[in-house]
Amino acid sequence: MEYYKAVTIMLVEDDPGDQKLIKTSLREQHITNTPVVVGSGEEALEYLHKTKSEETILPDLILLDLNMPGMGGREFLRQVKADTELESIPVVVLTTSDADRDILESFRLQAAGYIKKPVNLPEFQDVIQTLSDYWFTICKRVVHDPVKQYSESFTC
Amino acid sequence: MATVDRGSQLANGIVLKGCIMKYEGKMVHVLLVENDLGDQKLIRTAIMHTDYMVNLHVVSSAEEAIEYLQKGLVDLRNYPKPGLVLLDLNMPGMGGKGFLKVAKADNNFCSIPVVIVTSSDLQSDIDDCYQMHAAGYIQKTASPQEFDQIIQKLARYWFPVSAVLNS
Repeated sequence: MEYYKAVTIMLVEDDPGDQKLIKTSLREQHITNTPVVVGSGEEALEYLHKTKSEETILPDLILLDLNMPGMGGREFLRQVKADTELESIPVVVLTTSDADRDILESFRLQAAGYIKKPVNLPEFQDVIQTLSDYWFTICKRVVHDPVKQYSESFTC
Repeated sequence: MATVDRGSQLANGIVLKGCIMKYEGKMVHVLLVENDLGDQKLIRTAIMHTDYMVNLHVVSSAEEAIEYLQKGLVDLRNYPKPGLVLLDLNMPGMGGKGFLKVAKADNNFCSIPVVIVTSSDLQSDIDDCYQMHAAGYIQKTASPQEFDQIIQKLARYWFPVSAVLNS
């Protein structure tokens, strides 16, 4: 039986090839088998607002491409960090650019990490392992799950 | 008062396995805000065991940390801009949360990632810090070996990009 960490990851990525690589890496590193995958900033915001209104589980982490048609990663990041109900979700930029201006702009907008996309699956898996080691092994996280929060508040 | 510590072996221009981007051996400036001398030593030693060139600048309070950043605006040579802040929460004075609030509200400093390194595992502290845009929350451990491994993981995730942010 495969073991997966109990985490919810949202992937905001328009390129089907990169979607596949990242999903495969997340699965093969036993992080999650079911990331929420959306193809644009608009879709991602729509999903998050729907999740908020239905009081279901917000993602533990968002992986964000910068360059997408329509609402790009920067505007999405700006809107998430301006929303008091969403701002505590860490957003990690995952992009082909390693230009200094993109890195600086992402952190100015309060990204919680910046990863240059590797070019092949083995490198992708190594990078996803680094990401997972940081966020899901050594970092404490916000509890977004209302059911879990409810049950924890009644733990004796 | 900032003390400078040169860390570890030079990884000059090599791609370290699992690195989030290419690390070219550039100096990484890290500001450690920690009042406990034992914890300062623990963190300093763990950082020296990583594969990166690190200048660790140590201050003992949130107030000193803000003073360090402000001095850096006019004297970058002696007060280089950090590409990462490691922040204790429970310190005399304004404390870690006070620093986070001030730093994130200032356009000069808001882009510096701040990672909390604390003994507190209170969920309210965790939630508050992420709400104030902390870029991670790590609980200190008693075992130096275990803490070394934690700092190795933190270094692999942060130091390549921190080297860009402090340039």
